[in-house]
Amino acid sequence: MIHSIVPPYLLEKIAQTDDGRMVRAARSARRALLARDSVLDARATAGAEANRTGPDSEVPHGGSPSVAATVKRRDGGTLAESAAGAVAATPTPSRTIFDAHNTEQLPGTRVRTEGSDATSDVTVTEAYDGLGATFELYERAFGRNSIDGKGLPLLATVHYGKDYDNAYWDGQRMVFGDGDGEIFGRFTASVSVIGHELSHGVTQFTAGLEYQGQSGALNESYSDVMGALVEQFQKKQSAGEASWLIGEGLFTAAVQGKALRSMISPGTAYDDDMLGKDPQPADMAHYVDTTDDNGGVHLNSGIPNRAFALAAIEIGGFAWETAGQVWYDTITGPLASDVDFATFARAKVAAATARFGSGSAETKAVRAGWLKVGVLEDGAAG
Amino acid sequence: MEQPADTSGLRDASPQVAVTVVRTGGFAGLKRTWEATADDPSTVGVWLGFADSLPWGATPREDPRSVDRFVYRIVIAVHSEVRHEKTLPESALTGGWRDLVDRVQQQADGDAGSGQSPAPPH
Ligand SMILES: [Zn+2]
Repeated sequence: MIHSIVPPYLLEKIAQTDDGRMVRAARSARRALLARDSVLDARATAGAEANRTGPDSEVPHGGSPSVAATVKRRDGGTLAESAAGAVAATPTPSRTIFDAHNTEQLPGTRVRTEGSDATSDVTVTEAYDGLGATFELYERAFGRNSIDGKGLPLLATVHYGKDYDNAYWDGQRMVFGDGDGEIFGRFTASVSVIGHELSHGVTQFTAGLEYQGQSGALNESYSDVMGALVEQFQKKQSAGEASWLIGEGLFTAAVQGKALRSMISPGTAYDDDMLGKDPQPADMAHYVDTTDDNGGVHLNSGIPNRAFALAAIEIGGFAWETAGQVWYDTITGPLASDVDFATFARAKVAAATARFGSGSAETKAVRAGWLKVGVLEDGAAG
Repeated sequence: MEQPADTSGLRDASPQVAVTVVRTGGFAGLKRTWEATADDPSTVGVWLGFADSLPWGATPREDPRSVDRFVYRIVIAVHSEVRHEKTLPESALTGGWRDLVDRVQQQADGDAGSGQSPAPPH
């Protein structure tokens, strides 16, 4: 179906490049890889839409050996130029924001569409901008065109329900409550929340992780990771500079807490007289066995969250280029939908090895993160 | 909490009827609990009549694609013995279930001294 002349391993190389002159080439290579992945996924709808966006036409058709030599130097040259010349227009988001007017009727009335002017409603503006920031992370860092990789329109409804203390993904759209004003303010206030919700859509279109137990906690963790990365990408923050907080600024001033979750230090985000203490475990020794919350998906996500933050900080630099890329590769790669932590950790080490090499700092740090939280044991990660 | 009148003999410390709603999940993953209790016979009758009319044995409608929604666990105890118990996804919290949860939340939130519920201060 995808007739790319450039072999996959080469696309991988190009897609990884950090040379400024090759950014566009890297982007098209990533798109080609995605197109290939979607074919491997055998997703029923792949054909028409993939052809419309034309990923294979963006890949230079040339003799592999010389191209390989050029690319291996990672310093520009013929391939970069030819790829840049052939590249299609950069994908752009197609956002629509709806207002439920404090009812629970979806989708609500349309209040802003792509390219239209901002309204006086800050919630609408935050949702629109947050969708844009999330689209940008996926497109620029991973070459993914929207949630499904094929330009799916991004839909969000704000002002859902009355005093609704939540934000959720309903399978088609993001839904944001205004909060009750006493514990929570509006849920659009942190871009990490918007990145989180939209990433649930990405999971739905890729690994389809079951929302129960450990696979559910991994589903949650992926959304937290990408939510944090949207914020870091927007602020151009390195892993060392990042707060690693999820939902910072959502609590009102009356609550003793800085955020809903801390990825680097699970269990420390809040400690409030009324709400109690952040219940997230930081390692497997404190894994929470519960039937609540689909088997504690929002609790045990603290374990893979911390494994991720530890790895990203250990590697240094921008997390979306290192540990984030590995998370993305893992969730878009072969993965059982009911995968457990240990199997997932091994898949992640394998993804790091495929992208960065077995002896690379990235792979070592990814493995070390899982060891530290007790998911992998020494020697078990290959 | 207001102590119930000594009408129940052996178990005067526990209310005649306690309706507990435990909400977990949601984006925040915060667990919140609300409890409504009743001791006078007419209120007990109203709670039990309403509760007994709900379809406790029915399988709730699932909503497999939605994530970050709340999960509700509802427990009705009579003299500390569980009479009904049910876990419902937020998407299934409609009709009588929604009415029940609303009533419990209203009573708990209005009962500042209950100590059972992390209800917002008024
Ligand atoms: Zn989530």
